[in-house]
Amino acid sequence: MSNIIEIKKLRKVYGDGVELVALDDVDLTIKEGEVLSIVGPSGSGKSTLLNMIGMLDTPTDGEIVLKGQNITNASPQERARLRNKELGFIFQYHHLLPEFDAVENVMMPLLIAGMDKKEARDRAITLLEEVGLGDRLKNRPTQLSGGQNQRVAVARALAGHPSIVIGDEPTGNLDSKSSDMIYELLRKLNRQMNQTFILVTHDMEMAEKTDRILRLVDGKIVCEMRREGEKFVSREICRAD
Amino acid sequence: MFEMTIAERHIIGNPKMVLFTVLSVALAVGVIVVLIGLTEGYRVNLIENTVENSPHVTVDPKEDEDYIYLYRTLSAIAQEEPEVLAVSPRLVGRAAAKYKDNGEGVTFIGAEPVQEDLLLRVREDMVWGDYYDLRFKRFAAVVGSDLADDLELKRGDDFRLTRQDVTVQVKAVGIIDTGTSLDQTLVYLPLDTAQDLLGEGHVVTEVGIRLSDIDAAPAVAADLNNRTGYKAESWQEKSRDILDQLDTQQIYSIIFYLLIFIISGFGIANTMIMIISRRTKEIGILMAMGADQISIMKIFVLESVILGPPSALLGGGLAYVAAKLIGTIEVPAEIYIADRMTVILDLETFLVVAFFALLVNFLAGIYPAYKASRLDPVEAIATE
Repeated sequence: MSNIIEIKKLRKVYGDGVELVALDDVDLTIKEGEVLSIVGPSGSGKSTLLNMIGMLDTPTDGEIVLKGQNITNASPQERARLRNKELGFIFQYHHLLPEFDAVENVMMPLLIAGMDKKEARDRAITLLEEVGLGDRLKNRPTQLSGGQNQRVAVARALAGHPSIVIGDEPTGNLDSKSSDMIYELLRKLNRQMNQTFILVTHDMEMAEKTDRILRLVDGKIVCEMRREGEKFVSREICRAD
Repeated sequence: MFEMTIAERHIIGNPKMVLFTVLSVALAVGVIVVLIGLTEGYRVNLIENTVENSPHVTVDPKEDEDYIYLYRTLSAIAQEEPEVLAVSPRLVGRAAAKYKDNGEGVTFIGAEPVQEDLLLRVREDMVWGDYYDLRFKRFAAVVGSDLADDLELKRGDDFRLTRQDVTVQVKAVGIIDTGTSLDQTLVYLPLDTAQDLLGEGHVVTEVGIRLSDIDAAPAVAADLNNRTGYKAESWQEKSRDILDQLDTQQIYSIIFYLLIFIISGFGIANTMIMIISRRTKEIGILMAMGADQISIMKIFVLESVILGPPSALLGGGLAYVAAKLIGTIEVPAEIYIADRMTVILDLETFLVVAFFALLVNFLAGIYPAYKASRLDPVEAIATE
């Protein structure tokens, strides 16, 4: 498997006067098709790292290479294009557009990419059927449950065949039953399409189902565990914190 | 174009904001169209009034003379000019009118009735009596309606006109209502009678000329000047002050209209900023999905611009209704120049104003849309 993301000495510092180091020399390599979870206490830099990978934020220092392309200093235009083409986002709250129904919400990234409306609609319907919402196509976010909305959000994130799907607490707002359902859905899609999933989560149960767990504390990766069969193996000694 | 789809959906989803934005521009358009119509109506009324109630060209005495002596010759020369419909030698002067115990200062116009009627359509303004009676009755007069009221003069009454030491007694054979302030002072006399009152023999103070084309007046005046040496003046020159004043007023009006548009522009910008701040999170999500800055800007500029045409149309409708209502209001002719205010609405004015309305919508949308496009996606998504 080739590397889809290579992160070298990534630093993010916020603030002009009082500096807050959100990410501190992070090195990370992610392989294509990997399902990776990032855990850690609040304020540890998980979301910042995710925003860097998602090209929503720019690093203070260091390098990010996506599919061999150095995107650290890409222009806003280029970042927008890459977000549309290579990335799918699932947020803690579904963040669907309230004025649009399920199909239209799933179509949106495709329309942004310039796809023909008819084609985009067909693709959206297929995806919604896949996430089990074939009978809810015309419903708006207010007419759907939290779990259903999150499934629409999953379909939307996958619409443009992104190579990486980013989830920031994708099940954080759901009960455990809906949570499991979303996770199983992501896993199934991962197997079908060999997409890379990067999930930030507080839910250790979910993290333990992924291929690799990174633990972030104070902007540093303090622990990395990789699945080998049914068990997780730490590559280095995980620092107690 | 997904930007259009989103802009449309935002508009449909926000009827209140649409209503207020549309109303703000529609009111601006309506007010401006009506004001332009009123100004134009006033202008046209004023010109019509001037052109109908005074000669198109007036020939005055030579510079060192008080009267025109050879007015018959002059009239004949004037007749030769192109576009001339009528030539009327007139003796205009001031006198005192006395009837019973009532006295008033008057302006008398002595003229040959047929010529004078051709010049100013005197008979159209007669309330009663016939102006042509002055042709055969030497000591007769047609009196302005307000003057007749002031003197308590009734039909057929004799009254006296005194100028310096000359007094003539004349019979009121008609009342005239020109609809102007002239009605308070005007007395029409036969030319001979006026000349008696003046006591200077066979003279007039001016020769009035009516033309078939009012725009030809300056050329005719200039030509008469050259040919006769008399001082000929067109109605445009005579009314220059008031025409200039109208032009100056127009400049002020344009500034005023621009201010109205600027105010309504701020109203739109304000609404747009409010909408964008309510949709910050959504903008962040669109950015995460790959919408670039230009697309975000497009969405909100479109949202503002889409509202332009309905605003302009509604404004046009409001202006039409307002114009009809204003047209029904009676105003005193002494204050205004006609007894009803006229609002002249023409398509061209409306189109120009509508164009400006669209421009205002566009300009007012730009700044908020620009701010939206520069949002930091991370912060935008994190907004509560």
